[in-house]
Amino acid sequence: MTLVIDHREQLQGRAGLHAVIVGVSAYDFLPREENEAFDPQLTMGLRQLSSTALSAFKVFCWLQEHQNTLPVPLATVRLLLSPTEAEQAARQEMEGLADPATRPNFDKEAKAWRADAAKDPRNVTFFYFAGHGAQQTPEDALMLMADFGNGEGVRLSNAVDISNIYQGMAASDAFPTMAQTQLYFVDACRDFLPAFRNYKPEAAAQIFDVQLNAPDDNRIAPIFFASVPGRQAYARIGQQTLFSEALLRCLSNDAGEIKEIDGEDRWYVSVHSLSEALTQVLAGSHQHVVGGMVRDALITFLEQPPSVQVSLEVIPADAVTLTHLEILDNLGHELPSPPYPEVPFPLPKHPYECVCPAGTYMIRAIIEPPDPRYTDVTRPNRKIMPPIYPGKVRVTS
Amino acid sequence: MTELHFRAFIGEKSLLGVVDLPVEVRKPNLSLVAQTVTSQRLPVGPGTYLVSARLPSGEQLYNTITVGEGEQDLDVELRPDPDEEIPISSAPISGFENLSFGLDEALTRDLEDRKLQEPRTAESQPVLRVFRGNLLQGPLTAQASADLIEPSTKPPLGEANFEVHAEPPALIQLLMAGTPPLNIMLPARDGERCLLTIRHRPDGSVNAELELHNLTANALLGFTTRGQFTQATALTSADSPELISQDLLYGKFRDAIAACVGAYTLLRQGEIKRLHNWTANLKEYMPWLPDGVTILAEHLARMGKHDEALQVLLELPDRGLPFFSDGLSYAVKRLRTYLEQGRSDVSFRVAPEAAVLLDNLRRFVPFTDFRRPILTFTGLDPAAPDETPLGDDLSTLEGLRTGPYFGHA
Repeated sequence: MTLVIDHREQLQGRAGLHAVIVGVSAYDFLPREENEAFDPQLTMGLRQLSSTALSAFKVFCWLQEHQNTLPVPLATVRLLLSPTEAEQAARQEMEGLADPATRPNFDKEAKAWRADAAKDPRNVTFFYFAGHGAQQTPEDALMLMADFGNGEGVRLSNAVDISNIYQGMAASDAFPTMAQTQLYFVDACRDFLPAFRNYKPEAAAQIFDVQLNAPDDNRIAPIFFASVPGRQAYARIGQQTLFSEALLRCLSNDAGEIKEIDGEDRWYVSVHSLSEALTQVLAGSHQHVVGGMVRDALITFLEQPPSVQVSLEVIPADAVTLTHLEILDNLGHELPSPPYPEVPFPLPKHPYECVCPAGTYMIRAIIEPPDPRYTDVTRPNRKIMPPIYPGKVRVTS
Repeated sequence: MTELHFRAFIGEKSLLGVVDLPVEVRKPNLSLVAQTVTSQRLPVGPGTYLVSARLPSGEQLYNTITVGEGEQDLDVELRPDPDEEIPISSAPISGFENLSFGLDEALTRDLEDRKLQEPRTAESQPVLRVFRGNLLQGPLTAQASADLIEPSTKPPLGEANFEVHAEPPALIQLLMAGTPPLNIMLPARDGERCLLTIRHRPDGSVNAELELHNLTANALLGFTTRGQFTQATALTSADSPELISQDLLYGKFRDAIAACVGAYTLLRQGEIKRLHNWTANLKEYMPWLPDGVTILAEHLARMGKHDEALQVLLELPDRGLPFFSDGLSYAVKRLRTYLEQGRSDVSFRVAPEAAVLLDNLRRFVPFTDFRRPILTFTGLDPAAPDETPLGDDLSTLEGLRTGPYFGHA
């Protein structure tokens, strides 16, 4: 079973979102044990993964749980998973849910996905892959399927080039009404393994016959790559990749933006807000890069204002023990706690960290007891936007 | 409606005429009302607004305004938060003022690549040299560095600044002990300059960063590198003529490099219609500019004119390697596509030539740092890139020794 969600009949030809989600942790032909013998010519030094199938499953769950906030109805989800036994044990609902992520299975599902996507230019597509990868330029990545290294055909015959998928999804004579909003997420280790250095991507499996695109390929089609070219992606072993964790956090909250839509101020996540939020959320631990065509488009609405990680720093540090900080509404009135934070005095930790709903606030600092070196300050119009608000309050006059 | 006029300041320094910055105007509930740039006026209705301008390094300039009924114009001064300190790394070099618009924040977190043992001696400081020539078909020659690299006399602590004079096509090479030599293309036309800043980081590693002469183009590269596409869009919108103006339609290129940066951004955004026909002008009128070829080729390909795109790409060897990473990436992608298809509608006649060009460009790909928007790759011989690190002794390598030019306490 791979078409795990199919709402096409209910939609009756209306535009919808068509997704294909692939997660590979258990590679059939890569060594499982530390000392297991293997043919390096076939395996290229790669080993099993521990969290990528689980990450893909979590992305699937997110789509399923948030389908009512998508800009178009969720139409289809095609899911291919090759989890490890540990991942299956962690989330037993994965068992039997999806077919393995082999290249023939991917070939079949990708073509069916494309056929669905091509029925209406208002359709939206969602592509997510997590597993081993290799890379040449920011516009491409190899995605290794579960049967990679099986010794059949050329060495890369069970690897798929995202560039082939991307170009195959352009509108063309064969697909004149192709979906014009396409989201791609490639959550793969894109390290330059020495064995891949001289590979030619055209040796990888060509899933789509690419017709040179029809005039004016102006899709909205960003490709979010989990790791910067030549760098390894990272994961919490047995749990989730850092990128998928950040991605779902951003889609649910951290990439929130607000503007008037159809006469109402609404919170939403878009291509641009997602890109910027991922940079902030992944800072220090990870990097990502966005390729493809990155015009802005709505990805999902948020049902309530997002929460913001607030950090409050008193300057100078000598004043910390004397400074009573308050987060007030913009007119200076107290706010109910919860959901608004009540900042303790004295601060138990500095900088002080709390969570606050996004909004405009006044931050007040009162020196207790008064000290001639420092002064009370009131800072109105503090714009607290997700994902992070690094607030500073300077109490020297 | 009231017209808002924006003026951005850092300290007492006005940025008017120095750099265009993206501006956001929001209601008190944070709802986004409009986006524009500091050089443009914005009409708004009565109300209270939170206004901010973003620097590519992440800092913001702010103001809160209240617009009354019937007000004609309103000057909006945008300044840093009083509790924030925005560093102004002023290193005036012949009028080239370096404000805090660098790209380094996005690119310097990875400390593994350029790690050195504490380079405290002048002898172990990086060495600079300049190459001029065609990296794709030669010849390539080293130039006398003293003629082309002008150091700043008063750099900040731990930093060395150099104005590099371009005689294109050219690149600057940074040699550091224990690491592969770093080659950075110089996106500038004859007579222009770029600013190279070399900084020591606390762990002893060194960061090298090249800035364009046009600060708005530089800011645009910074926003794009950080994935801040909203800000990048503002700088290339129809409201921001600094980079993309009507003059381009008539072949008037005030700054061809800035036009390249704008063009690559429009290509990335899929805003093909806004490229009009000036990409053809850029290629025709700037024969020294490799990116004129890659930009036009990508533009033609997006319009479905693949035969023409391929013919244009085949002119790249005469001009050399692109200045920008996007140029290399697009060229490789398109050549691959055309050769993979092996189609009769893409001329068989040129297929061997295209294959040679693709192989030539691919030599650079594994050694290119695609995080950097200006094409940067490793290799002692820039025409034969590799990742072989240098030894500890740089004394036999000719070039400008940077040691004396670092700022000291």
